[in-house]
Amino acid sequence: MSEEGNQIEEFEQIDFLKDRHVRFFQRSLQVLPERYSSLETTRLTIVFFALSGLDVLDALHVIDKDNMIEWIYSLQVLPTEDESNMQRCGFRGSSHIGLPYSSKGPGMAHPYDSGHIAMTYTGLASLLLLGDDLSRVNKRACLTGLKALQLEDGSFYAVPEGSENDMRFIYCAACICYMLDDWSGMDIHKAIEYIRRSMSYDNGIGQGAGLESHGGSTFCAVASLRLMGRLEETLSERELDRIRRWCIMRQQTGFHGRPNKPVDTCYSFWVGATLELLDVFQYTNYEKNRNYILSTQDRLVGGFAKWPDSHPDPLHAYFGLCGLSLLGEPELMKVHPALNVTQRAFQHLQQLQQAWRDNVSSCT
Amino acid sequence: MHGRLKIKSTAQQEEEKRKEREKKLKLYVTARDVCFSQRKEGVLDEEALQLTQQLLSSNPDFSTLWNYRREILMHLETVREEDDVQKIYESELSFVERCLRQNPKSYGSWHHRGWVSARLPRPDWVRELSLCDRCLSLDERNFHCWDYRRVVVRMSGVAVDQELRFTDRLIGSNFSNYSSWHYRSTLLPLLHLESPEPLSPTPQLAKTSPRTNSHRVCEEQLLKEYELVQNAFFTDPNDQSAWFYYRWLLGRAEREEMISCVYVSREEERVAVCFSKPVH
Repeated sequence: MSEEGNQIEEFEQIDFLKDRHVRFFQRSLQVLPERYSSLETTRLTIVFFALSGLDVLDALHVIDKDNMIEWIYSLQVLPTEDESNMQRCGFRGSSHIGLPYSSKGPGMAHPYDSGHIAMTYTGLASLLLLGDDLSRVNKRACLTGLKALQLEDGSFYAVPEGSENDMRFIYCAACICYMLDDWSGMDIHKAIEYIRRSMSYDNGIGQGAGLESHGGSTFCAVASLRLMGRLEETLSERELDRIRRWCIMRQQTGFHGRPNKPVDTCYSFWVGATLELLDVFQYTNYEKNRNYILSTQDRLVGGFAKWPDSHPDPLHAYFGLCGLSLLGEPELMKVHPALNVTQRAFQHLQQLQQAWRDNVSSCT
Repeated sequence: MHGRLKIKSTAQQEEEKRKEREKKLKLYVTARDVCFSQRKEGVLDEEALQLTQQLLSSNPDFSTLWNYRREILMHLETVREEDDVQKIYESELSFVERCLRQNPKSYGSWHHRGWVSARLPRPDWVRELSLCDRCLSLDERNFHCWDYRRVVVRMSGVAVDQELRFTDRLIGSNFSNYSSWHYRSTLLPLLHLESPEPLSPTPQLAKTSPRTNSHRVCEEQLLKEYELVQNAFFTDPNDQSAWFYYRWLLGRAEREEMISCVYVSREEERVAVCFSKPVH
């Protein structure tokens, strides 16, 4: 009798609290705690986590989509009248530069206003999942701005004034080109060279040549190749097997990002999605993975943290959900493992792109 | 917050909090606007450095401001004496160190430090290595720090031997040493630089220059390395690091010089012999 009671208790402990997570993301879209102030310049990425999180929860109806779409468009760095800033176009992280609010063109000249590659990526993805048709995106400007960020070695800066450059931004670039259905925004060949050079002795992939293998950069590399349609062409079956092996050994209970590091909820997506892209996610231990992710669930405020008994945050809340989605959690929408949006948003994109192509062919 | 109860505050407390937030916001906005208007006027001096310092201390990933600082520093290089420039860059390094102490994983801060170190008239590489040592002693897996160390080693020409000994120390003292093994994998092939063997990819694969981790390692060094790594996995068979490293080592031996194939043609009165590697 008591055994049954215990089992019921255990089940309650690890059940998935969908409503809490919906409310967690709603709150994240309203006001963030003061400790997030240092992330002000990247606020759009937090918005993406919340929006895509709500999409995965099939709960986008709780927010005012039109309002949100307007706000995102206000972050677009548009060309000025004379188009002198084309190489700086894209999306901003937030309004921190202090320009007056405007969701329409033309762009306002400002010495330090430029797009940020990760904001352009998350801005476009957010518009997409909100059902927008991207008609107000200045595609030519975004792609010009993107091309200006690529370095000789194939990697990308985040901003035209310069920054660090690594695999993360190659992934952002690949997503942007994929979504806009236009690869003129980057030199694919150089990017592929950079990816190959970043393969490490242990067959994981680092942020760059000679750098330590990492679950995050491995995802960025593999997902980029998949989006480019060059995965099997770039890596031999032997190399793919080696990457599979390195990745699959990241599972301890949940997943970690590097050997000898503690497991962390977000890697259930970074590594899980990589394994899915390589067709071997099915060989991982689903139960241990699920139990770990749920152990980091915050039962009071919702969301997930990287570790149990830690404060949840939008990033881990989002990737925790994506991790569960890969496992087939019943109440969650399926996630596209390369583009990192729901399959539904992905289908919307495919329809849009078909319409764009139809438009082009009907004009010629 | 997990476990913390929400306390309802009175209207007066709410009003006080609002006033305080407004004050903070005003300070931030003023500082930011002065920065940008100064930059617009082409003001590139120490006062501007001061202002951006305030903002960057709490916002180390405000990349626009790091870029503004770089502009100022580059401008000062052209109008000041070398000794002055040295002092300015040294205090820049101290500032970045403070930022790193607060946030040792900020991409912006590490990137800026690398930039400064490359431009300093008289760089102090010993100081930079020591910063890396200290940072790694706090977190041996901080890849930002490892990456910066690699940059410092490259720019200052530290001997491969010395760095190998550094990894020896770390590997010997701490199980969480995967970053050290990784570093070794990049150092080992540099000990005896040979012309790299080309990878043998299938024809459609992207042509690329071989990575150093596909280079060969001489037998003497390899045997020492086998011993090192075998000690590691005998000590802790469950530690992945040694096993991954071992697997890689097994492919590092120099290929035996041998005959790959012989072709004999009686009609043409010819014998062709193909060797596994160039014969000297």
